[in-house]
Amino acid sequence: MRRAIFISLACVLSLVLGGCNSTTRIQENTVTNKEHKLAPGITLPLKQDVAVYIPASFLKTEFVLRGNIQKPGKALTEATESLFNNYYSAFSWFEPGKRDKASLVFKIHPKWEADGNKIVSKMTFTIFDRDGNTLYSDVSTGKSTFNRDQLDAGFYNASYTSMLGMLVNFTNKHSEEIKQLRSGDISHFDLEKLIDDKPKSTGTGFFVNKQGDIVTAAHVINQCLLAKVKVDDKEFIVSPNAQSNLLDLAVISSNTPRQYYLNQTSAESLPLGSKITLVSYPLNGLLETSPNITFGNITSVKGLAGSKGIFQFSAPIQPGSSGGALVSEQGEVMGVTTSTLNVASLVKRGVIPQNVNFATSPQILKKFLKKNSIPFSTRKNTKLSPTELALKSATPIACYQ
Amino acid sequence: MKALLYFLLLLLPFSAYSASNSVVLPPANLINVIDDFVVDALNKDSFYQHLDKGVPGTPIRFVTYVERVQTSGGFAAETTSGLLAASTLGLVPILRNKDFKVVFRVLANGKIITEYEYVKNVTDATSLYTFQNTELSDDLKIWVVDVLNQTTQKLKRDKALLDLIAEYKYYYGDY
Repeated sequence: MRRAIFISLACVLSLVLGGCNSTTRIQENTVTNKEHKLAPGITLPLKQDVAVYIPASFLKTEFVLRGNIQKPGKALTEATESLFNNYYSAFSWFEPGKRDKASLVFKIHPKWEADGNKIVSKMTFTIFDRDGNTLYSDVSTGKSTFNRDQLDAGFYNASYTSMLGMLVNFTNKHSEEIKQLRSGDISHFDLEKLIDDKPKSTGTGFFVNKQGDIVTAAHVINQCLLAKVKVDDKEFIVSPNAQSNLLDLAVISSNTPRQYYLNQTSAESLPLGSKITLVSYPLNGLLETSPNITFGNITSVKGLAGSKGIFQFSAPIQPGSSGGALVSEQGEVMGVTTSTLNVASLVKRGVIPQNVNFATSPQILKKFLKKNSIPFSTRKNTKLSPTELALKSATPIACYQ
Repeated sequence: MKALLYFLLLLLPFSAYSASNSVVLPPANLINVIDDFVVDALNKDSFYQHLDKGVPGTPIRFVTYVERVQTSGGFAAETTSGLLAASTLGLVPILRNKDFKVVFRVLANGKIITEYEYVKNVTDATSLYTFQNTELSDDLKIWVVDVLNQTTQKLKRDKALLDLIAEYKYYYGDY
């Protein structure tokens, strides 16, 4: 009996304390709230085509909390689509190079924080006309309570509220100006206007031919709006030429003729134990941009259980080394750096791994280049030493969002 | 000639059926965060014959998980019936209403290739003493297996997955 009473009290308490902050998503047709009202005479939807750019890393954000997958990216995506479709006659997501029409281009950069029992969304907005002229910029904040195990409604509402605040302010201030804007092609919209000043991430690549094609790991450029490489102190915007998520390989074109590039090996198998040199550009932002050379060996021709076309090497790597070439003593590409062991998770199991890094095999790389008709050579084309050649062929890659 | 044409046309649906039936998921790492009955269901279909829990190095992953999303009506019902259940020392059951979501995903090196999601609104009555129990009911287990079977059929015709399978075979050969 006592146990039953105790359980009853515990349940009442958990319902009252835990359940009372139950949050559900804001209704779909919400266009104003207590704090933000549209000026009289403004009728929605406004007859404008708009394109919205939010960095891919935010739209795809997911994490696990108490065994449940939380998807703030999905909540943000759906809040944006719902709200902008309420405000404008046509809405689309901005995609570089896509033939699309718009009169307004929105750049939205979100930031989320937890404040006690609330999720706070702080969004930085810049609004451009179709020619890239800035019309308006603002920072808007939205808050929402959230459910303990399921944060979706909290992220949705906080995002919705902050965007709603911005849209109300912008519409009230510029309603007459907006009416004058004409829709037009935005496929050539200047991407530099949309990216942040600092790169989101960095990696390494290496030239594989005289046409200036650069090989890197696909994850280095996966979420970039714009990727840049630095060669001989000059910065180039590069465009993806070929990409494989299965192999974690990509080729980007600098469209700049290149004197020094790395040859592919003609060997059909990996020489276990052979020496390799890795040139990469790690820890960008922390270290000065300068090539970093490490040395090691091919320590195993196999990778993790179940892996294909992956081998192990011992040359130290850091974040930013991804995409760097492992160069043999003959100056040939012996692999492309892709990953390392998850040290944090192994430490929890009482294991501290040392020098276990992974690279894609040169045979797979050659197959990838052939499949995508990227020229490459297996013949030595320079008198430079392997280390000099590796240095002259490597380039840092900066990924901007 | 006409008869031959009719014969070939008759064969078409069979060849399409056998083509989709011969599709097999390449070796993939299984991450199942639902329950063991899902593994049993996966084992029954040859499409998943190369799926394995112990291969963290495979570039392809097959992930299954569930979400329980609170509904506004469900919250009100749960709170009211919960208080009533507590005041009667558990004689009256607690009514719950949630959107139960099950998700099946295929990823290649962390990038989502394809994803199928199903939602079922679930109302149930539970005892005050088993309120925190999150085990799936038998009805839900049947529903999860049913949508898994639907997903399998969809995956066999999924363009993104078929492209991935073709790419896998190009680089690594048959499996």
